[in-house]
Amino acid sequence: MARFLVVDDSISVRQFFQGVLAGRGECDLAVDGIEGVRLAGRAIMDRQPYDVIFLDIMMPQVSGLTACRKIREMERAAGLPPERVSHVVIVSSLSDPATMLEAQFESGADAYLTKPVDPGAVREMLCSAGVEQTLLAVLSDEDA
Amino acid sequence: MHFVPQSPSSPLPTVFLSVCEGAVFVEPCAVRTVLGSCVSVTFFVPGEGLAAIFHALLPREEEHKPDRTLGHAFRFVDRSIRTLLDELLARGANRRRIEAKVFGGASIMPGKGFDVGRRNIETAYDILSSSGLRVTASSVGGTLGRKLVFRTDTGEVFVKQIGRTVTG
Repeated sequence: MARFLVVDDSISVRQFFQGVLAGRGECDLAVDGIEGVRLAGRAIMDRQPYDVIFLDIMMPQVSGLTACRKIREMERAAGLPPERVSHVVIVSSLSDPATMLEAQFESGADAYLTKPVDPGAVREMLCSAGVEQTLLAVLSDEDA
Repeated sequence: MHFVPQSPSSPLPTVFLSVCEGAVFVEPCAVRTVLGSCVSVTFFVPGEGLAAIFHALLPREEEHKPDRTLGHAFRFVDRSIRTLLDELLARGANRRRIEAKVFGGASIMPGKGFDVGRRNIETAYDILSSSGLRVTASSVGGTLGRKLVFRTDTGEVFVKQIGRTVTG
């Protein structure tokens, strides 16, 4: 069963993801960057890293970009093989070029979604992370 | 750009988009492409039946001498965005409703100094921002190529990272 982590200080955003991800796997919730890093670190230590982590940016104390860097550091320190590292999706209302670049080139995120996010966008991310089957067989392995 | 037989599991006609190609679509189809350091930007106008995509090789047209042996409309990221945006607006699209998504820009030769992948993405973000278009989603950078499928009827984009080096 797929494992998800949603890190956002907005209860409405956490509830949105909880609803979209219901029935698709286990979903843990964190209310800020510190708790997000703690949960991700524990999962890495248990050798059960999350399949997909949805990370807000603007949160108190530890931003999503800092949290993403820390998660990548923990994955490297634990020696996780590339296929076991989490697919990290930044989910933010910020859509300026500098932030989107930093998230994906410096902080190590795999993808970026701009709020407001709809369920279809989440599904696209799950397909891209390989935890949900895409409807289009053209992405199949034998076609790679 | 050429049509290929549709997959049994996909009811949509499938189109393969090669490097330096782009188009506006008014009929439902699945557009496929494979990206390395190249960039694809998808455009989708909800409710208006308009979609577009390109696969560009290099960031900015002004940095290169004209080369008449290659088509120019979709060789450069900056010109590709302007070309397709103009076409969408000419067909009646409301600029504020256009959803743009950005993909590609991998460093397929890390350590070589000239990171064309990152420059391609910087250019795409800058031109989209200055054109007043909202980037709703992106998956860029890294060291792996990407296979991409764009549904022109829904605006959905499915991406799969691939391990081997690709050319585009």
